[in-house]
Amino acid sequence: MDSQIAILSPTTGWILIAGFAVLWLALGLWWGRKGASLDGFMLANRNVGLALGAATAVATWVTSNTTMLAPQLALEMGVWGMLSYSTAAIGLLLFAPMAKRIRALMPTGYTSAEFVRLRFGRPAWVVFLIISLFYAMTWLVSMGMAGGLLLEALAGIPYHWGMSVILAVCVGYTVVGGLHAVIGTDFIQSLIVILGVAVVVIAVLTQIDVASVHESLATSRPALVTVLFPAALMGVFNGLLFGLGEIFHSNVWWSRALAMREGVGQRAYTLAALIWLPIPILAGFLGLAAAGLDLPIVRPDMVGPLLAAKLLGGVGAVLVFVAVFASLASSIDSLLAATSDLVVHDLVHGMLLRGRSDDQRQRRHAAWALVGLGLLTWLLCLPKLGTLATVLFFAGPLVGSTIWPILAGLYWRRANSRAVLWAMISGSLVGLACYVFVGWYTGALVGTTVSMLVVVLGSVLAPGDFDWAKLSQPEPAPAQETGS
Amino acid sequence: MSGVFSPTLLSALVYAALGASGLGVTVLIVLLVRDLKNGNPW
Repeated sequence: MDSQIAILSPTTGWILIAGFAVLWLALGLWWGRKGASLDGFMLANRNVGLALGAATAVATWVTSNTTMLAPQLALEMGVWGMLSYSTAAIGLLLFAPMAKRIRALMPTGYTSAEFVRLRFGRPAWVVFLIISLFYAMTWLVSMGMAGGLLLEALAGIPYHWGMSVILAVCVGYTVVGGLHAVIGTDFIQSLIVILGVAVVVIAVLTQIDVASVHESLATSRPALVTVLFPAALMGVFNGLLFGLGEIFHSNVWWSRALAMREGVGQRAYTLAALIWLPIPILAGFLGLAAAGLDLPIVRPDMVGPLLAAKLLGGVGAVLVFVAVFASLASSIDSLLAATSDLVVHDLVHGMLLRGRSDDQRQRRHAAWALVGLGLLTWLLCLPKLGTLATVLFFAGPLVGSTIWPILAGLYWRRANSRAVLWAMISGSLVGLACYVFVGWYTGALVGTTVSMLVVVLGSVLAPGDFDWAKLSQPEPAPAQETGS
Repeated sequence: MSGVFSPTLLSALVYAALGASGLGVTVLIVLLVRDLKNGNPW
């Protein structure tokens, strides 16, 4: 059991959790006063500036997977593993010009799925929504699990208690504060994470230098410092494409693009990519150091926290605890908010009510959707499925298959709606088959490639002709129901 | 050794990442102060 290696007392762990819970909830209540309207709650009144815009992108992309999975990848795939996670920064960088275009094309839009519906029609919208919601739940579950594992490993708090409390805190301040609370806390959380990881690495370097780590690896596990490590090289491309797919399609990033005020989106995402880039390298180094030190590994995804705790004792454990808790919260709140937008605006308002609900009704539904999503995530986290990598990369082929449909939708007037629909279906299915029968590191690569071929060939053979103005025009009002 | 990441390269990567992290935090804080002074952080 992980709790047997805990180095923080459960009391210390609970005190830290209680402190964070009070802080985030108070800030959520304070900032939540700005979120009375639907635009205020879902999109922070579409007026987010450069500092908060860049920080929220950094904080959201610094998931617990960065602080826990990057060391795991380094431990298993060496230097390439460390670098492969950092390639996910390219997704942020490439999304920067897209953020500008999204804001310009859809000045009154709410979600990525809404874009797909207006651009490609309802069948593609349904498939996209399924992929988006599946991915969002996968990501949420992987982070809920990470929270439970962290508290169990570091403080001996039972998995189910830790996971439940982290989810409850995030749901709480997101419900009361909306996107203002998410973005505001993201700023603080991004600073905590970056400084926390950097301080742990500096502390590690005061006890073992990089050359010693390298020497130890070259002797005991030479594959980890080998340049030609085929599975790791494949992992680099998989990580890159997974990152692109995650960012291009996910409403987490679209909602931020729509929430930033005009002229901010491109600069904010570019800056976020540069600030985020070094974080997985630092976290990954902790994994390499652990491998070099022959640290006994109970769970590979816990290697970073365990190393910090071993070398730095209680201070290291608290630092890692604080950094990972902040990274968890920053991503869980963002996902909860963006996914509830999809559930309310697309699933309930768009699909079930067929547009027959006003903004205030959607605003009320959004709070309930957040609570419902929190409960669903909690239920899915209960069984404690697999390791983080297994859970996260299962969604790789699906999100990979959305890269080309989104790109073509934003930039290619002749992209064919039917081709896009089949690109997402075929890319997901073939990618998943490769994930299962070949290896996790091939899923996103294959899914993206198949999807690209279908989009390009389908659109060249039967070109569409889209009018961009349709994305910014008000939709026709639905038939009104009588009696209310 | 050919075909192996050198210790120097690994050191450079780690220390560059540390420097970049410090710079990133500084930039975020400076930008926020600027936005707050302008009265329009969001």
